[in-house]
Amino acid sequence: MKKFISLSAIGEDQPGIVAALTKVFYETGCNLENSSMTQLRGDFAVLMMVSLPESVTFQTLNGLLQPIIQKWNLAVTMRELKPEEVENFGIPSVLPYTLMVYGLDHPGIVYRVAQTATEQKINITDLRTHVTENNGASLYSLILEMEIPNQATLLSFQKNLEHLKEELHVDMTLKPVEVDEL
Amino acid sequence: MAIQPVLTYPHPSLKQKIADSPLNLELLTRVLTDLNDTMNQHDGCVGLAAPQIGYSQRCVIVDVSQSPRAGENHGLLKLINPVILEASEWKVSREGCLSFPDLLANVKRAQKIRLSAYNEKLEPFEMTALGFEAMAIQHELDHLDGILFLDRIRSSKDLFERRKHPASL
Repeated sequence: MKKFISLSAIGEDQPGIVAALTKVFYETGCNLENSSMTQLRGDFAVLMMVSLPESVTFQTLNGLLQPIIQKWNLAVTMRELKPEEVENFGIPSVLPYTLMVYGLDHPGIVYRVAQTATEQKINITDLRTHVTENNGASLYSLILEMEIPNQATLLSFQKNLEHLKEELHVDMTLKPVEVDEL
Repeated sequence: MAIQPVLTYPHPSLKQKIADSPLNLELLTRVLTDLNDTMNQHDGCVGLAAPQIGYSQRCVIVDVSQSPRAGENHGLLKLINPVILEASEWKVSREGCLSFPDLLANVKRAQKIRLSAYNEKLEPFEMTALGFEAMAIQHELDHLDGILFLDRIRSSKDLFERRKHPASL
């Protein structure tokens, strides 16, 4: 079975971070598998899963990354995945939904939405937030992708969101993830 | 000529479903004139809906002819009580909205629509719109139902902050 590491890194945004990290993977025969990298205002954040060839250990890779981490002043966490985690990479049987929430910025929007999902054992698989100026007002946008376990949970979640909309003074749209079969 | 301020979210007018407009020529002429004057005031704006300038009237204005994205189009369109009769050829593309000045979103719209409406002389007509013009019409018609482009987002990767381009040298 392939060995995997997960790595997160964040630092001040500047050209070259991706090239510096991936150069090490390329030169050691590691493979960048799933990843998400994005600019967060003035920072750049990296989340990646990397598979390692037999010949490369976690310690070797870690050692090779250290000069880069120091040069680019990155805050990094890195860990080796357990074999059982790698075995569970499969696709779960759930209802994938997207929830869009937007309204004037105030404390508690993400917390209350995430808590409501958690109470119904709904798993959040992706979450993005943006704070933007809207004609002098501060607009908060939250988009979540989630795995809803079954139809009954979906119905009660929809009901709870109606209450939450009133409580948080936001607008919300929940819709199934559409798949375009071509 | 009356340029009206464009209402921005969270103004409550933007989330209301508007009932069909009575065919009152004087009122609708004023609304359509204000829509046109206001649209022309905003560079790059290809459409505006009455609720965006505070009128609870079911009418919109669309003109994609000056846009680099414009394909086949009808120039300036003034639509009263528009109804989409058929929609096909769906495509995702990036949209902005004057009511959300700093956001862009990937939205799926039909590339071909057939619609009925009344024109500015209050005559009923039907038309077919294609491509960018069809998308612009759908965006504006959504405003008449209180649907904003953020409500059309399909995934967490579909929302973007508008980038300010560096000033040209």
